[in-house]
Amino acid sequence: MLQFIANGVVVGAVVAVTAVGLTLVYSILKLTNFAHGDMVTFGAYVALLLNLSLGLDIWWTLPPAFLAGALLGVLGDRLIWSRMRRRQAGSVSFIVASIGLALALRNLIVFFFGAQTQHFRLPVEMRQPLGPLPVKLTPDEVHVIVAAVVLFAGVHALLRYTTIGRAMRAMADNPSLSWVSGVDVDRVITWTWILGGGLAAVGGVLYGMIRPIDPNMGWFLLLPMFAAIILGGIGNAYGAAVGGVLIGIIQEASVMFLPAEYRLAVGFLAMIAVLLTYPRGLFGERSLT
Amino acid sequence: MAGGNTGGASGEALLEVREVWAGYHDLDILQGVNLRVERGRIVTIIGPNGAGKSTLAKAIFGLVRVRRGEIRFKGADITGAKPSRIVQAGLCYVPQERNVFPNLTVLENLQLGGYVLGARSEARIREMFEMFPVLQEKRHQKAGVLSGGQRQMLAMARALMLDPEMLVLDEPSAGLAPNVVEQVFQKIRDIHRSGRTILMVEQNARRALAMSDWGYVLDMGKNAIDDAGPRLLENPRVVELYLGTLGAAAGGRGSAGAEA
Ligand SMILES: Nc1ncnc2c1ncn2[C@@H]1O[C@H](COP(=O)(O)OP(=O)(O)O)[C@@H](O)[C@H]1O
Ligand SMILES: [Mg+2]
Repeated sequence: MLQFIANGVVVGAVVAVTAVGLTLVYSILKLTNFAHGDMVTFGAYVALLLNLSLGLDIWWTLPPAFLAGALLGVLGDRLIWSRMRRRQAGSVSFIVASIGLALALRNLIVFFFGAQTQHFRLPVEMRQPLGPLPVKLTPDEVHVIVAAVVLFAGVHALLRYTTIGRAMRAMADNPSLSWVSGVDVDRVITWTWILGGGLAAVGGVLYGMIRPIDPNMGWFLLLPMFAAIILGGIGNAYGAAVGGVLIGIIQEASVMFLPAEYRLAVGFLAMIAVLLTYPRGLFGERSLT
Repeated sequence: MAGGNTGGASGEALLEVREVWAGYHDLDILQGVNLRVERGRIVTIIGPNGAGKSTLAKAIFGLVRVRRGEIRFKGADITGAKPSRIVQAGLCYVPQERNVFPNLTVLENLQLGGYVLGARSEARIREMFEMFPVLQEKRHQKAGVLSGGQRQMLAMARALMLDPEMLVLDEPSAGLAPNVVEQVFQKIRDIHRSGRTILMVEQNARRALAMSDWGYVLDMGKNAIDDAGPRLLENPRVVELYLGTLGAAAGGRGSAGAEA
């Protein structure tokens, strides 16, 4: 039992990191980005490239992966989303476009890296369970959890204590009032993508440390990510993080009773069960933080 | 129309709206609206619900696209300009609804109002707290939990952060209890006395026109009548057509009804 919870926390940490990015983009840009999962995959492959071809230690791939993800997010906005916003496209068009972008990204990844399953080159000792603990956790798994906590503390500090973070929360709260308050909206949008894309990519690297890497890994993570943000209260960044960990634990714990293939479905069922009791999610959907 | 330019031809026009057509999607709500506000004046726009009063305010601030016509502030063309440019030029706005950031604290709301000031906003926030002492008490509370009156005060303070020459207020007294309405109008008079030009949209027509230098009646997206504020109140057409229906319309929401 404890072991499953420990596994769940590890998976949940990854879901949390990626779901926070998804919910930031959703609440600030009002975009339900189905390509977010493939941005996660993209991050894993950036790290794979650096890890295998340059022999970079996996932890040193995190900053470049973050930058690459941020760049991908900002580029996507410049090329696609900003143009659609200017033409006042409807919300369905945005969703369809994001699914199109998801497919395009995945196919590009298959084209460049192949469809086969791959692994990071990790030092063997990192895969050995740690000493006398009640649960079996490898150093890498512990590092994943630590990384998620550090990332989340960073996001929290940025949203809470910086001018740009305050402007991001204001945009989520009341876009037109931010606009007429003189907020530099373009800058807020750019920062939202830097964070959203960067967190997706970094989440992908962390995910690649606890499971094999393949072009579908991010797409299948969409379901738990959405479950996490709905569970935590749509558009609430803290809720998304807690929701992510909860979904991870529920999924892993279900393996005790059900075949592992049902994991994703169990996470989603749990979300529906919670929504029947708390229709607005566990933490309400009012605010970004 | 000629009436739009008779707003006391003597003074300098601070804000001028000329033959503006604007609306949502492909529908023109404003159909050739004219407006002129001279420096130092209080000007009020009245008109039935749905006349396009809020749309006009949004058009001034670039929140709806102006398809035809021109808006000038201090002689410069601001038609379709970025809102950040307009507020930096000294024209600020208190929208009708959703005029605060409910999930941000009172202090953060003011910081947002002073976004373009950067570090200089600290001093200005202290001034706002002097002018609105209730906001200082509540500075660490979320704006969403304030009472209606406090929220309106915060909305005005946020818009005053940039020390604007002119303030546009869209229905500042809507939905407030009578004694709070009095406080809000008192604040508007204070703001005017501190040297600012005021343009307001009001359902509380009698109260607003009585303190205004000039008043405009807007109906179905067009200028209907305009005249000096108190004279407009005595205009039989206005009383019959607008104050009557306004009283009835606003009475339903419990604001101007008692006065009408
Ligand atoms: N966001 C919007 N989208 C479409 N139509 C709108 C929108 N806002 C207002 N309208 C319409 O524009 C007209 C004028 O509205 P408004 O300017 O708010 O009137 P007023 O402030 O004079 O009561 C109304 O018919 C209203 O239904
Ligand atoms: Mg209105």
